[in-house]
Amino acid sequence: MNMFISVLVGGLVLGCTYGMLSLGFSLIYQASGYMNFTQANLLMFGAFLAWQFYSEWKIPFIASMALAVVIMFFIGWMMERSIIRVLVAKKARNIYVVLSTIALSIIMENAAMLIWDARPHYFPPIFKDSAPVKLGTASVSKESILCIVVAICAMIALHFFLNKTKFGTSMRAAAQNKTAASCMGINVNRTIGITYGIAAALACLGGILVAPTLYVSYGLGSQFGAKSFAGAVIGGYGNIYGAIVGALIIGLLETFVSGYVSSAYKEFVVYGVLILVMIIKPSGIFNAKVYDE
Amino acid sequence: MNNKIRDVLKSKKSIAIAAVALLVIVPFMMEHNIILRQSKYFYLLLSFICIYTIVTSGLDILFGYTGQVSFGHAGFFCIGAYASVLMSHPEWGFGKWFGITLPPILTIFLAALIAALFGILLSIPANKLVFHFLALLTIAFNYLVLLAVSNFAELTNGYIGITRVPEINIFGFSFSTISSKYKYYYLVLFFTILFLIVKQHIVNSRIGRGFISIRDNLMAANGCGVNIRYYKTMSFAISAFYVGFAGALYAHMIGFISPDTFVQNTSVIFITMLLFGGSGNLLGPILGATIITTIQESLQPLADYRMLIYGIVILIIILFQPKGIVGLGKNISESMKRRGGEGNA
Repeated sequence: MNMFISVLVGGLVLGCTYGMLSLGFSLIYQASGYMNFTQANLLMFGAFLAWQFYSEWKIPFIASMALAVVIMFFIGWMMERSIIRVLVAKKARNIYVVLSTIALSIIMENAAMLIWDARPHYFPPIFKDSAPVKLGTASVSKESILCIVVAICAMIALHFFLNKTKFGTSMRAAAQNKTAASCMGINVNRTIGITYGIAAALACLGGILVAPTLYVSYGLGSQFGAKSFAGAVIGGYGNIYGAIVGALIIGLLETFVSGYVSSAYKEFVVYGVLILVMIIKPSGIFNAKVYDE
Repeated sequence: MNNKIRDVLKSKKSIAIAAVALLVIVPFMMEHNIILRQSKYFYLLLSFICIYTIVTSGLDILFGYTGQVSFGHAGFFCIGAYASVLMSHPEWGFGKWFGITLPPILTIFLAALIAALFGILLSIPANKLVFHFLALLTIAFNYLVLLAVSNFAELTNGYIGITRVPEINIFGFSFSTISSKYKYYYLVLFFTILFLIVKQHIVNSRIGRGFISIRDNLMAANGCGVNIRYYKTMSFAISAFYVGFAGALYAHMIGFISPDTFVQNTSVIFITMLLFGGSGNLLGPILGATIITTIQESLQPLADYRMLIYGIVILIIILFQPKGIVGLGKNISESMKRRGGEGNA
């Protein structure tokens, strides 16, 4: 039972981190129809920023988290404004927009390596009192619980933001039909830009929350990229609720396989399941349009 | 006189022949110190460019002509390399189990066939999927191949990799690879030209028109009686054959293979080469492979800054030329034509 709880919590932590990225994938796809390969490296960059503020400059954790998230929000917005919008205006084919995000992710990864050198950095504990919390007989670190709680809060906040606020409504309108939305006086370009910003901020949040359980290094992004994309697809690409469910499935699957079977096979199982899903039900849990007909 | 030169330049065949002649003669003269000096590094670079040209052309058949994206072609590259090595290596694979080895010149073709089989297998789920899902499927395929290769240590020696890969020799004529890549370069060049010619014939044939119709309008293609599933499978198989063949050539050239070479980043580099050059034509993949390989190699002295500058260069070029280098060439030639027309008038 002890092991079950600790594996479950580990899986949830991983799943929530994947979830933060998959949400970004789905949001961006919904808003603009593009794949964004930078997402995972935004996570890494955000984690590094928070590490810099918290560990090096000794800013309180809450403040450094907020600062990093805000900075990443603007980086994401700027990315859309200065690169993707330019390409779309030039009528570049979809795949070139994707390629530009790949180039950007190469730049981010290597910039991080040059700024904060190549070795992994230790993220200091968030709580002064580092004694683990008791859940029944199992003990769980406070950082893991914080990660899960903050992730759930962020997801709920996003849900209300999209559904209840004026800006969220205009975002959904722009995602459904750009022309009609702009006729209604919605600034479509700005909404898309802000969507990229939100996606970057979510990625950053995921990075900060997972940082205490892992080390911060420039390779952090590549650990998460493919699998969180897989999560977004399993859920049904472009559906934000599906993205969360898919990411949790991937995270739990991975931890349970490595906990109970063997950590050598965890990736095998994850990608094997992924291919099976692709063969059997490629539209994901929340049916997305996938078929080529 | 001027017109004559222009006519010669216009005929693409003559340019191609001139380019091939240059690629044959210059290294020959270098080897014999007629111009410049012997440079083992230069031969290696040229061989790499040729191998990547085969890869990129293979990817072009799939992406540029059939419109199916792949972020996992390093998987086929890996299959080609390992299959050829396992069949020809005296200490691994066939040599270990049965005590017989096949000559490498035969195994590179067999390896390419095996890669093509995997291409057909991959196309079973891939045939049905659109862009994003296809991207994910191919990424997953790449990871699975990589995991298989790194985890079955009895078969592939795991992460350590296989060293002392046998050299290619034909009837006793050895393409010595360890000392200098000079002879091997000619072999690779020969195969590259062969594959490019075959590619040109494929895409201009009935099959190629089927591919293009799928890329341009799936509904219309289906309505006109193009068997979509069959052509997509075909496209995957041909593409995998090209890339697997290139992988085998790579393995026998370097003499050492390990899973590190075939990570998903390699697939991204392949697709970058293709997009950078421009897809859906003969010249694009060649230019892309040449330029990206040269950029990567020439940035080598910058050490840590290498990949950063590489990313920035790609980004800038995409921003200013979102159709690849071939698009740039077309723009220039069009503007020259316009200027020439004005001059004549």
